Amino acid sequence: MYRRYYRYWSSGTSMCSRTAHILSRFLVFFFSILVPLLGYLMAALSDLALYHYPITRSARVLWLLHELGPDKTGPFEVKRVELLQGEGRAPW
Amino acid sequence: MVRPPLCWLLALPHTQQLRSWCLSICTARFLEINPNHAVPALGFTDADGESAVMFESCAIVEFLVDAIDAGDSLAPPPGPTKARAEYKKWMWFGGSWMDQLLWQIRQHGPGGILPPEEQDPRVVTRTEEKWRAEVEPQLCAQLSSSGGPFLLGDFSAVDCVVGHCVRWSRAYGLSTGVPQLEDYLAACQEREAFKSTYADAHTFGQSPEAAKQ
Repeated sequence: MYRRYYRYWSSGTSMCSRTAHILSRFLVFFFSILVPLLGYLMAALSDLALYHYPITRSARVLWLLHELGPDKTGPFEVKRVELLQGEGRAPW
Repeated sequence: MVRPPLCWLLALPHTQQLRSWCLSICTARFLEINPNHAVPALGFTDADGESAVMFESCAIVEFLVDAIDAGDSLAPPPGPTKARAEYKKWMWFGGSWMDQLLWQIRQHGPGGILPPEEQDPRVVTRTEEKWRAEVEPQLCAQLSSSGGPFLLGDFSAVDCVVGHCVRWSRAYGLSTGVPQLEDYLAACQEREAFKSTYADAHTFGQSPEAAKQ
């Protein structure tokens, strides 16, 4: 789609061609560098740590984190809680 | 038996007691994170740089979706829409109604977490009947009306909760032999995120040392 616009713009006057060139460079910079960078800097949450034990209710959250993917969640830590060893249950 | 130096220093007779002592510390520390003796809990730093911890799986799922994925693919955007109402309804149906039924079986069923003398088999029977008579038909009807393969049609955060419950129910012989639920679970299991999540399923019940291997 972008190439179509570029051809359209560049087929005009030299001024249009230069404008199209600058615009194209800006678009490349904006989408390939600025957007991911801003997304990272403006991330609402960071230092995510999930307290988890296999196949329990924490799997719901872990599944969601995997679905969201590292681009959205950033790095997250999974801390295994030994529920059946007493870490979560005692004193019951 | 040679006592390890730390046991000797702490005047503990053997490593088992040292282990218990360590676990009691872990317990106290973990109970500060979640006083309900349960997972999940989520620790995070918010946009203002403040550290926080929250528990309750449904609340965490909704919170993460709204904070990280607002209005994107995993949930309808917040607002007074039918889509959002359906999303909320099924999210909490899974997290509260389905969950509490399964929890009854987890407590009272064979090998349940309650001591045998406190278990009541009638609870299990009643719960299983309720699941088959009420929960399964509702899920099937919703899958039919949404067009599937997921509860709201396309995959959403609701499936992380309801899909987990359906998978859990099969451990008690429920949600089996129902083609729509079989297809639903199969669609969930095909997802890469599902496979990554349940890759540690075989370590359930294993000692921490064995689980690490």
